[in-house]
Amino acid sequence: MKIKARRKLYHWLMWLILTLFLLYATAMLVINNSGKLLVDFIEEQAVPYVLKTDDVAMGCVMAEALSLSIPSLAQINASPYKLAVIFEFLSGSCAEFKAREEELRYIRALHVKNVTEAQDARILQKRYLNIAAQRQFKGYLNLELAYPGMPGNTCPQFTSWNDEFYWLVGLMDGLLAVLNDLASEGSAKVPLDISLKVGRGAGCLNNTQWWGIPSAIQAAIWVSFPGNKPEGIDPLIVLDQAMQTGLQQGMRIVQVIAAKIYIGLGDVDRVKAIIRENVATKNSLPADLNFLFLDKMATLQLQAISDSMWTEATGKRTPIGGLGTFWDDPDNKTDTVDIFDIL
Amino acid sequence: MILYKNSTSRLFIAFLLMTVGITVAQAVPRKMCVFDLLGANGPFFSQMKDYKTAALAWGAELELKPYTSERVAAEDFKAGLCDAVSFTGIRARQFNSFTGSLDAIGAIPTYDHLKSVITSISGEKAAGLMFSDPYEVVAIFPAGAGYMFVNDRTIDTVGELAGKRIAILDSDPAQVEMVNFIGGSPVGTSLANMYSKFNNGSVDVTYGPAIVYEAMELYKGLEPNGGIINFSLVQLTLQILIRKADFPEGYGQKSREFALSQFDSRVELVNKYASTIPAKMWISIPETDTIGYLEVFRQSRIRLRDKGIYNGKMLKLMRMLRCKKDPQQSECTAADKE
Repeated sequence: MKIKARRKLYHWLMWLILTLFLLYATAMLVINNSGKLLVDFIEEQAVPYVLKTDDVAMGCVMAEALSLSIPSLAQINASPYKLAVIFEFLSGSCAEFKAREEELRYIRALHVKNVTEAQDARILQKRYLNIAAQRQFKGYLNLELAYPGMPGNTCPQFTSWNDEFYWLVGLMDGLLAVLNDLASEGSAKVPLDISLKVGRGAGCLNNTQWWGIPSAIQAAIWVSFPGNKPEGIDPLIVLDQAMQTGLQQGMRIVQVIAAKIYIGLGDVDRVKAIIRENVATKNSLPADLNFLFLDKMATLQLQAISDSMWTEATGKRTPIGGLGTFWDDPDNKTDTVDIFDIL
Repeated sequence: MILYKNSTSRLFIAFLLMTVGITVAQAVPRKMCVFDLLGANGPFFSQMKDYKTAALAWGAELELKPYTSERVAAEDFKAGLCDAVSFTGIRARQFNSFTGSLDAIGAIPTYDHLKSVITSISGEKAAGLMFSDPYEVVAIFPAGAGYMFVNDRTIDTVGELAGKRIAILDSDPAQVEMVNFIGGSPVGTSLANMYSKFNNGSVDVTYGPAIVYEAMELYKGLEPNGGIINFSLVQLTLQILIRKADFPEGYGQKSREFALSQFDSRVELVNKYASTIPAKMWISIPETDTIGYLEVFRQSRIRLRDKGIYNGKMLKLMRMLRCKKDPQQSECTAADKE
């Protein structure tokens, strides 16, 4: 009797162990695959969905909130590197927008000759630029994790549209990280050679398919870092062609790169022309509905540039509905009669 | 009485007009041409935004205009298209040979020496030396020590530079003279192709501040046997010049004191970039060879002074400071002192 009871106990114990093992194995399988599934879902579904929306501010807040947790997906057997590329890009742009607000405060303070306020605004502007540079640098580092040893050296064998998209965003991360770090006095310690690697990495993408952005990135590098420009190439002509390529497809993000290059060169008239063209083509060349987010982002970036120019000249930002107009535009005078003629 | 009244009124009106006139003159924004390879997106331009804020407190409103070519910036300044300009000390030499000789070859071995020199010439006593009609040097910032990058680590003495292809900036006659003096083969370059020529092997030796190691991927040209000679070849500076008559009285002195107050933070920034260079890249020169370098550089400076390229007063000042810090140097007792 005793032996029979013991046998029964062993029997149940074995079943219990087996059940627990199966539960554990299933859980591990679910966990392992859930990480991959989650990353696949965000890459394949969520990101393309967000790109169809046009609330940039919300996209920015979403990225700021989630960026910290994205790398944790690596702990459940997923490769969240490409996601980190885009999330850091977006959260970096949040910090950039804050830095731009401080730039406006700096300009306004100078306008009213308030030195202390201007100095304070510059300090805060540099802090935000530093945050932007750190985030964008993280984004670029994730590109290197996703494509080990490749950026600037070799081109990956892209297997999907998504792969190319994340490559492009990762390159933008790198370029912006360098520029924002330089503007914030190198406090983020972003390696400067990233910029040249980005220039070469842009050559891995089809320029027409990617709305002229690869050529615009290369033009930006050639203008800014002399000594890397191929013989017989005029970067500004390349830039102009890139802008037309983007515009024809209703993708105006390339105009932002161009405007920034011309700001760097101090060519205010050209910057004005780009902003005017952006506004003028909104109806004639409507944005690709799959990328409304990017088009809206381009508009906001150009609006920020316009705000700086307006504030510099008048102390106030671009008037409501005034994007594409400038303070010194010639007046379109209305026909009038001399009032003395009827008196 | 009427006469008295009239003259009082006139005086009052004249005073009023003068006051208004002064106010108007001060309110006119002064154009400042700013050289930065990255234009308005670059670090020097960013520094000038802070300078612009400080200048407002001294009564000058500056309007910054970016230039990616310092030659064009210098020409526009000369032509009166800008009232102030910011560029390297090498370019400043044509406007003020005294401060333009700060980058004399081998004259300032450390940042500590540089700070002493800038402190000495930023005081009110030296104000006269900062003015060369109609220009005034109103700020000197450190821009980093210049080092020699060689594609062969065995080139660690001056003698071994003989016959080597050495990149020189066409715009600096001092470099041509120097390379000829040491028996090197000068290869004319511009900032646009100086480093790509080193990376593709067209030259054996180039020079520049530590920041170019990473920014221009000089590690490519240094592979497999190259290195950076750990000896400050020149001290590069960033200088601001103004057309004195266009600025309020006392502007220059306040500006120079401001620039001096920024010295340490600028050096910190420069050191940040120097720290990106891996330790294995630095080539230490043995003490005996350092003496050889110092003497060749000293002789070159004297020759360049005699040719009117370097300013004798600045060379003397730098020599005095070097000898104050290290009186044991052989140059301190040499017969042909600078």
